[in-house]
Amino acid sequence: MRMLKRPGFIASIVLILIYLVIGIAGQEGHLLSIIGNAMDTMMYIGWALALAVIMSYAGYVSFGHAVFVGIGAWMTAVTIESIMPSHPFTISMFIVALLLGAGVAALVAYAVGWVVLRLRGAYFAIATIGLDYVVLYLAIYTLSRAGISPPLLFRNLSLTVQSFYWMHFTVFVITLLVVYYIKASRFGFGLAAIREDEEAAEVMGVDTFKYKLMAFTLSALIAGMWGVPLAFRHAKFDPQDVFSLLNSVIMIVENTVGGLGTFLGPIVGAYIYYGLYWSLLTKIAQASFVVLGPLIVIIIALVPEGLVGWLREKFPRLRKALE
Amino acid sequence: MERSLRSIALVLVLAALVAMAPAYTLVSTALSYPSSVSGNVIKIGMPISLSGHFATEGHQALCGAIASIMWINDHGGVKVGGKTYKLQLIYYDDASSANNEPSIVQKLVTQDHVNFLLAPYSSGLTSAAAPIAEQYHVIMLSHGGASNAIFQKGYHYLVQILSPASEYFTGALEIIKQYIPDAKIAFIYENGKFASSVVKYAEQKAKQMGLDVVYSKAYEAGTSDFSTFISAAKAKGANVLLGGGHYDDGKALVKQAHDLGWHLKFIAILVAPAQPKFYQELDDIANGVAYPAQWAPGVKYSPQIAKQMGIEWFGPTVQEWINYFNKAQSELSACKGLGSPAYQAAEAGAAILFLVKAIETAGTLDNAKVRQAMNNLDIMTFFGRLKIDPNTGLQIGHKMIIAQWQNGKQVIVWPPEVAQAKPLIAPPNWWPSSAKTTSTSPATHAASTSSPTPSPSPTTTTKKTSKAVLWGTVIVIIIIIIVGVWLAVRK
Repeated sequence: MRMLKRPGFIASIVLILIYLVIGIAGQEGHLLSIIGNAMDTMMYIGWALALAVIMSYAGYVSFGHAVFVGIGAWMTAVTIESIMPSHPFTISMFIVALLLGAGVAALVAYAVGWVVLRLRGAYFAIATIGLDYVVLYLAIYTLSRAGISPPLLFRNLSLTVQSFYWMHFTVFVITLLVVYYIKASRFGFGLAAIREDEEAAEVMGVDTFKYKLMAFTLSALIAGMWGVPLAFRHAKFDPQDVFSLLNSVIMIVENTVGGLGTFLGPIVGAYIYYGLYWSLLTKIAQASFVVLGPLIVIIIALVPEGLVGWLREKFPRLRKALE
Repeated sequence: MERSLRSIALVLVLAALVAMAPAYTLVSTALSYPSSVSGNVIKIGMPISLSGHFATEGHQALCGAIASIMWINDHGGVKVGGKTYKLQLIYYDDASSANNEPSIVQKLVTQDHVNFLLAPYSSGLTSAAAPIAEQYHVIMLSHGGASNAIFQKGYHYLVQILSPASEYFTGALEIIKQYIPDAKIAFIYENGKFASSVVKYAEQKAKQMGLDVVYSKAYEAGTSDFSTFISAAKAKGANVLLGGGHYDDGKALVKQAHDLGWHLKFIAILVAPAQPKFYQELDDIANGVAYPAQWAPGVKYSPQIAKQMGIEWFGPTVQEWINYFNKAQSELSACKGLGSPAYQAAEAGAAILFLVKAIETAGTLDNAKVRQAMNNLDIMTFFGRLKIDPNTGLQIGHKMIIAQWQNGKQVIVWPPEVAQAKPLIAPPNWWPSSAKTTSTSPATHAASTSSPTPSPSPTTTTKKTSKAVLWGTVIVIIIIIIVGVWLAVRK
């Protein structure tokens, strides 16, 4: 019960309520602009929190984490084009895609994690990049076997912007609650112990390998779920696009800028990243990442502990509120 | 001390970001034409490639659209329900990346509140942008996406202006049907998405027209030796060659067909012959080689032709439009130095005209009603006839033209109503008089010489590469496992 009174949980509930209100208000035409941006921010928060479980809480950088988002998108393609071809859209289609996307992502993470989580530090990061490329080429190969040169375009399911919003919202609620539970539970403390000192944690009786494997699997499960609304919204499965290393970098940046080891950090990081991306996108197009890159380097160089971490350090009184 | 320095620097960075905000808006307002409009305005949004690998085509398309907008605004604007509107184009650079399309389309629709959209350039980028336009129920006119695939997905608000890939060889087949009664067609083409879909549809059409296709094989992208394909086609008695893909392979195919003494009555190749350097590099061999194109500055579409065909003419004449295109070049920095308009410019220009006509016919700016009005439009413009298939949005009115190298010049030879000259059949450099006697019995000739030369089948080669990819992945997985186990054991 105490868990429910903590600031992280309250913040989650507030966020959920805000997005709920936006969703209901956005049914009307003139609020469409808010709904589009709200959907984007939910997705970026989701990505950040998914990676946070393994990177921010357990201290293991998964550099190829986009692979799980990609698997989610792939499974959506399988659902729409193979399992339920020529069906009109129904809720069950979304649920099947969600279960399949999250399930397969978690399975892959479990199998791969069982091997590579014995590696530490940079080796783990490199192994996850390798995984990303393996799955990317596997997807391209599978498509070409089916006679499709990527991208695979879905048939038009005639969905409205509002229906995409509620898809995002569903996954958003699940993500916030699950990740908060992980962070605040005994399991979360175990992960924090591993992050701070793995040997010490082991001595203190934490089954580090099992904890890491669970964290990696859960983190993949959430990332896999986020591939589903993304694929529905973009109406295609483009391996080069969803498995792009850039997506992994975005997740890492959100976490680092926001603050490692905190629950609010990745959320704040996601807002900062999205704000910059959205405002730079149409101004300098090609150069937007050229500007974004140095900016992020500057922020990380100045505040390595991230914005939330910096605030916690600067204003000790806020520590209770900033979890 | 260090910490306070750090926090000061952080505050400065954040302040700089905030201070830059007005600068962003300054830059963004410049990306529209005309930059400001007084009175009623219809906003048209366009994500377009101004950098990256489609930059050349993107600039052409942008300025083609602007040329048409200039003409409309100079000629009384758009009349809708008793009110007169001016057109304004709002465009953003998509950096030739499909990744940027969803966000840019979202921005155009939700922030700039554009009424209608032009698609980005190319089939790939159009397929990334179209789903988003569809979600917001905004019409998107595809001016640079030839692929038929996007239009088979059931999109309602996506409308095509240029002829689809399925039409590229239709004109060539019509020429063959009319002029070469004993035609035996060989297709030799690249196995990429564009060329293979062009040939897939051409083969179907040839069958419908009762034409004899004796040989059809795809080659891998990057192939430079076509001798096996050519001798196999020759052995089958083929006297017409259709195919190609991109510039280098198309040129090599033509050159080797000539060098190996293949006598041909008609040759049509995709893409390569459209470039002026095709003639510079092949010289006399190029004469007689034909190619399909969406448009060329020399087309003869005119109000008179429209009248003869009983179709309404809309918009500027070809020469008027070219003048406006040149005006855009002299007035706008984005359009400087483009030279003569390429067909990408004409496609985008035609998209604007088709949209304006549909708006005026519908008498409203409501997207659903304008889309409805497009179904019944049948107009002639400087780009040719425009009419869409109501169910899919595919372009069915516009005819591709066939141009041919004749005496070192690119001449439009088809369709007859816009042709500058008749098609040159059996050009002397390709069909020497000696060939005429041997060609009397090509069938027996083929039977005697057709040695079983097993040319590499395209399907097996793709299978081979995919198999290589599969084995590669298996090996990588095994390596990962071995390294993992080794590290675990070592510990």
